[in-house]
Amino acid sequence: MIYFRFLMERAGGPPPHSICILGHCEEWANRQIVDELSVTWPLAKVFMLGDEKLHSCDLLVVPFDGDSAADAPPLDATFCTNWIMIYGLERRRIWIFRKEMAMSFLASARRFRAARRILAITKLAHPLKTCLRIWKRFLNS
Amino acid sequence: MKILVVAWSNPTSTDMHLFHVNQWRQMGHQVDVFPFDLEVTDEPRFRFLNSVEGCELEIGERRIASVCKKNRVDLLLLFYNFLRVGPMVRLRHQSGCKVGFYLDNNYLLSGDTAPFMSAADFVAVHDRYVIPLVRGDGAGRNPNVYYVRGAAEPSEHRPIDLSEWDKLRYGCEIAFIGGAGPDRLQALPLLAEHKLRIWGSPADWSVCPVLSPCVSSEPVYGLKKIKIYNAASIIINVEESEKQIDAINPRICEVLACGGFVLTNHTADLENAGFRDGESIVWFRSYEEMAYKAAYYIRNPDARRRVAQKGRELVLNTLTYEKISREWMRWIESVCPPSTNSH
Repeated sequence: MIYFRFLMERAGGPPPHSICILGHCEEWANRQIVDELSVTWPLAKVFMLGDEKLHSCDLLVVPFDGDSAADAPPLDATFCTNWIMIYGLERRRIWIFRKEMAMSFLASARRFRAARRILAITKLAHPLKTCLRIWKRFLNS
Repeated sequence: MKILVVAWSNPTSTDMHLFHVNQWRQMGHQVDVFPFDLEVTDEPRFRFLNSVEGCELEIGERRIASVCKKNRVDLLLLFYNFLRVGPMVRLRHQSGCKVGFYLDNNYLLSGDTAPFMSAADFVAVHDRYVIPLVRGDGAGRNPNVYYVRGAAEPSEHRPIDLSEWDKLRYGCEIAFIGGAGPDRLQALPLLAEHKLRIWGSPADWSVCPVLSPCVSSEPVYGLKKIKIYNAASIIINVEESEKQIDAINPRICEVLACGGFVLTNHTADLENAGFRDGESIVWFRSYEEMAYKAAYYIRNPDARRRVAQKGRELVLNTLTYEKISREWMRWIESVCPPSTNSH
């Protein structure tokens, strides 16, 4: 309700007329998302997708488990939608972006997760940590 | 006024600030929201840097300062201490804005909280108990302290029709929504003989084996929260004494606005607000009393409905965001007259 309206306003989007949701394996999650979207935008048509082909829609909702947006399922540029809601169930983090920004956001989340692993393997975390400490000291001086 | 509200925006924690913002916009103020978690904590770049070396605060301070300068903000209203004192004073000096701080838990001795409250232009508190500790003119006190009661938004917090599925999923004798803490871990086992449902993080509650089977980890906010308020016979509110002492938790108002029945800790301000035990709410002063009253009201649905109805009337008349937010904003206007930023 108020929270989804806030997210859409923050994204700069209009109230959607049609919404597609990529189905989640948990029924309660699907029901919760459908309920919340239907009451937030009562005039919108809400579709839950299983394996069938994606409709064209104003807002595509992509639920995911895990604690980072990097865990969201991959998005395809051919999705015919204007806006994408990345819907985190585990940490309750939800974002709405224009399609292109959503794809770039997810790519960025995956890139930085990979970078974290690389830092751990290559021991580069230490010099980066030192740089950040110097930056913090500079800010606080 | 141009106002920037900085708050955590995880919907399962609170959406209170969004209801205030709605009202202030209707009053003609230009209000923007800076959701700290979406802008900083969970932004992939910053999350990565913060995982290498804790720097969330520094990044947040720079981002908030940048928005204040860019938007020529008159009032920066922080719903948590997202800034340290030094950067806050610098920001106020550079951008000419006023700074208000909302204390949403009694964590006065934590980190920078006390000096921040001292340096802010005003402090809003959720708990009446702390007012005499903060308000004053000497010894680092702040002369401008305002108490914000909890409230409900009747367009959102309302009675609704429930489907059979909703009744099955959300119906129970007693529902609790929230995290565990010492007081709750002491109180809620006394209710475990009833059909008790706890909506919260299982990790929090795992220390209490009696309660673990009652816990659901599903996120609760928005319509689902309203359904739980509508479906449960009793919504229990147990305050953590380290967080609040004499407050009106927004949950109480939300439940009552939904037509639900609330069993809660007694606070003096509930009485001040016009609530009466057994008439418009039911409160307890000990956990034994809580258990006794829970059992009584589970057995007496008519008594429950009567109390809930009176409670709803009281909330709709006196504890709505339309009333509470606007009164708060009129007070803010009186202590923070519009600056040149608005012109």
